[in-house]
Amino acid sequence: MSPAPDAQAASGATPGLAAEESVDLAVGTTEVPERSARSSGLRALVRRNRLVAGAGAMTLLLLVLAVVGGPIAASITGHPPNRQYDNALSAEGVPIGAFERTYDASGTAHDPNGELFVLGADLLGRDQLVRALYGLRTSFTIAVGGAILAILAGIGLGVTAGYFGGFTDAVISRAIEATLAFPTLLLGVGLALALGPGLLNVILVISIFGWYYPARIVRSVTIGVRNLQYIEAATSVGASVPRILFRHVLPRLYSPMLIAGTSVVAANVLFEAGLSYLGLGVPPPTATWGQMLSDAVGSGYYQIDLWLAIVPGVCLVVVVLTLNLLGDGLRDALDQRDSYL
Amino acid sequence: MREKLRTLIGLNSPGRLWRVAAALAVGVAVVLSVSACGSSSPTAASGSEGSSESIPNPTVTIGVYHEDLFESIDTNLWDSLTSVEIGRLTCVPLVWYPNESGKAGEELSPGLAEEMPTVSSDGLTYTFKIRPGLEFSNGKPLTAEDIKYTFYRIYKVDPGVFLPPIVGSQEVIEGKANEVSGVEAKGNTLTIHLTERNGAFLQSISQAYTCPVPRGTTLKVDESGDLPATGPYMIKSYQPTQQLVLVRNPHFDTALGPKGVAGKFIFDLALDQTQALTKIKLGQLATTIESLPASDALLARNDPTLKGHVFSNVTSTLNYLWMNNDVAPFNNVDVRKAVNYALDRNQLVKVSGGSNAVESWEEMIPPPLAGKSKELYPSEPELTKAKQLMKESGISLPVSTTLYTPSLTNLPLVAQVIQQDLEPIGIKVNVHVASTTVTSAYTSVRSHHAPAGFGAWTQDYPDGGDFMQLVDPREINSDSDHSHFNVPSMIPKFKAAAETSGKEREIAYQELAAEVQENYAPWAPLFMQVSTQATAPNVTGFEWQGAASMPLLTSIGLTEE
Repeated sequence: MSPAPDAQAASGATPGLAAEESVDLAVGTTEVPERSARSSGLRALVRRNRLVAGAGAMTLLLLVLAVVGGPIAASITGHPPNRQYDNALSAEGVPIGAFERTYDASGTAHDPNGELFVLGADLLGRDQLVRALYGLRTSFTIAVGGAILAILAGIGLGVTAGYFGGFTDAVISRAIEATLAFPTLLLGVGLALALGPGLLNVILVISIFGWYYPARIVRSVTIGVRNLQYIEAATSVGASVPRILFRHVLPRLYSPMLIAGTSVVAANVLFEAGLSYLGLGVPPPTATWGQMLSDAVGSGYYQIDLWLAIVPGVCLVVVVLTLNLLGDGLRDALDQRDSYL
Repeated sequence: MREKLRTLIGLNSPGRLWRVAAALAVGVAVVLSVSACGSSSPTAASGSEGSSESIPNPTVTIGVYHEDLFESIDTNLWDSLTSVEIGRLTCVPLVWYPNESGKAGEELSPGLAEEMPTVSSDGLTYTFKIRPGLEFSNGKPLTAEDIKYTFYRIYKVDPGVFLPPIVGSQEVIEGKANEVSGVEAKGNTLTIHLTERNGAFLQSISQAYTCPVPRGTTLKVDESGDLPATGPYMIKSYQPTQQLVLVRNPHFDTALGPKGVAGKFIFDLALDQTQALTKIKLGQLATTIESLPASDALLARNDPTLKGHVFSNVTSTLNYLWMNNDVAPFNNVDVRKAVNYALDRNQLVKVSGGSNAVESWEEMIPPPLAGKSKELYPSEPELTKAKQLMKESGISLPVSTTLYTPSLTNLPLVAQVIQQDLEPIGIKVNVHVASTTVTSAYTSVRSHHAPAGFGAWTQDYPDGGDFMQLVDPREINSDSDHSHFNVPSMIPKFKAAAETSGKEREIAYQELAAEVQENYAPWAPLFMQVSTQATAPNVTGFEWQGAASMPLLTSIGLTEE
């Protein structure tokens, strides 16, 4: 295949190794205005679409909270996340509610000088505020870890399928369809049971059921890019496949993977909560929202102390809503950016 | 379309984002509030203060949690909580703990036998006189021959039945005989010969699975519910997993015990335990066989409409932490003792639902059987003593171990209390939570070397031996207990205790339990379960049958609302 005439003309290069560099330069020259458009487009869109700004700021805040929120809250309250306070439970085992102080020795009345639990205590007498913040860390660690693995696998498989086509594409596409056909949670439960509890195992389980979504997107984008003329030009001047993929294909995946990533992370947060709810997540005493919900609902104590269910429930709603809104906003922003190209 | 939807819900206005998030949060809270209020809101059922006259022969509906269904409708297989409770209504064995509350119900008494049997001096032969004129619920006379046939049938339908060895039983199990040669019937006299002395023989034949059936009854498991009864009630209809209906047995001899207040019992076999309290308050159920969940028990206690209708009784179910005596670090007796000293059993009570659900307990046999033995281990942790024992154990600290925990009710919480309690003495506990089936399947395989887990045992009958058989070194290969307690020097003591009977037996097992726990500590007993039942506002006569450790249904009646 010969280089596209316009690429050759633009570079004025002779065929051969130098020609390939010239092609890169040629592509580079077209990328200069692209970057500029992207920057100005993003800024403009953020200005216009404050949803992106709000969701982005909220996501940033959640990330900061996930990293430092738990330790700071534990330091301020003096309540380590796994410490069980026996006086935070009544004689009948009912935990103190939000903004209540610990019980006195009788276990029936609150001690006016007792310790304050801002969001109440859980069924073991642990501070719910501190555990909710540590739960955010657990949730993000698993969700982001699972998303990274899933996206890496999705990119690898999607690019392979999209670029090489033919039999390879058929095999990978059928694998994607087969994975899509599985009842995800059910198989996730089975796999989690087989692998046993543990942070890494949960990340692995989640990523196994998360790769197909990015893989499909990547495959589509790759097929689109593969047929562009500058790819043909690069191929004709002897550019190796890895070089083409890394220099010309993968950069095109930045936007779709960013958008898909937010959706995958949000889905992973819920998946992790589901596994933890079923007792298949991270083993105790690590704080997880799913486990907090499971304890509240499974014991029936949410009927007596609503905070047990409200705290993890609201945390889940806020995080998933934020990530979904961010993904939605980014999609708008980056789709419009594409229109500049 | 998406933009339209976003505009519709106001997401294009940044200030509204927070309002939407807040609205969602409030929505979640409201949904939870509504579901929470569902079980505590007032109902149409009136309080007992307003009740008037008793209803004659009332129809009483009893709830059975669907997960606790009985194993079969065939009486000779009945061994679960539910079937034993139903057996108390349809069955009177040779000897039994009668349908009475208080002390009367806790004394082993003659049932179909006229009086307690005579026992030969070697303790191997029991001779019963059967009451004259007894009839099955189908009107057929009940004779000693029927009881002899019943023993044959028991071994045929359940070869693994928990009975002391009767002469000739093994031949029946192996299919070499068509009767149990050690059971003889002559007129109204029934003689039973044992292969070895057993002090709990009479208790063991007081169980529902020894309920007589007529000669010639099929040797296959009956699934129809057609077997005739000997108790005050008989089965009228049975729909598996749905409903069981009992009506009065017209041929019941009141000399055998009270005929019961209810004219008819309907057992709801598909009850979701989370719905039990609501149904009781609505008057759709009189009560439940099993305890209410701990949270519902607490709600019922504090519900003014149920005042005087909530009852808590300590059951004979002992929950304990078994420590595998073969596996480090629990192969060291000092470590096992240290665990017993380090546990905060009062905190375990709290996280298990308080006094409505459990009662702290530190011994290997339950309260009424344990007598007034000395306190071996404390309810509150004694960390100094525990640390000293860990030091004396000679193992290098900290040490890690795994606690296999079924995801059943409160056990994952209990495991986390234990995890926290053992950390200060240098034992790092990894809590491994899995379903009850998975946990049980894993820990019961000895080669898996599971270090520790949870056990629970409910007595078959009031007898210390019923609990101590779990750690009997002669039964080291049994699946009943995973502590694998195996001290050969204790075998003669277990054997001697098993041969005793009466008061001597009671004391023998108290001493044996104390010695095992004090010197070897194969378990850390945790608590006794408490059964809390609520009754509908128009229910009267809720009483507790202590020996069976369950509600006495024959006394339950209804009043006009």
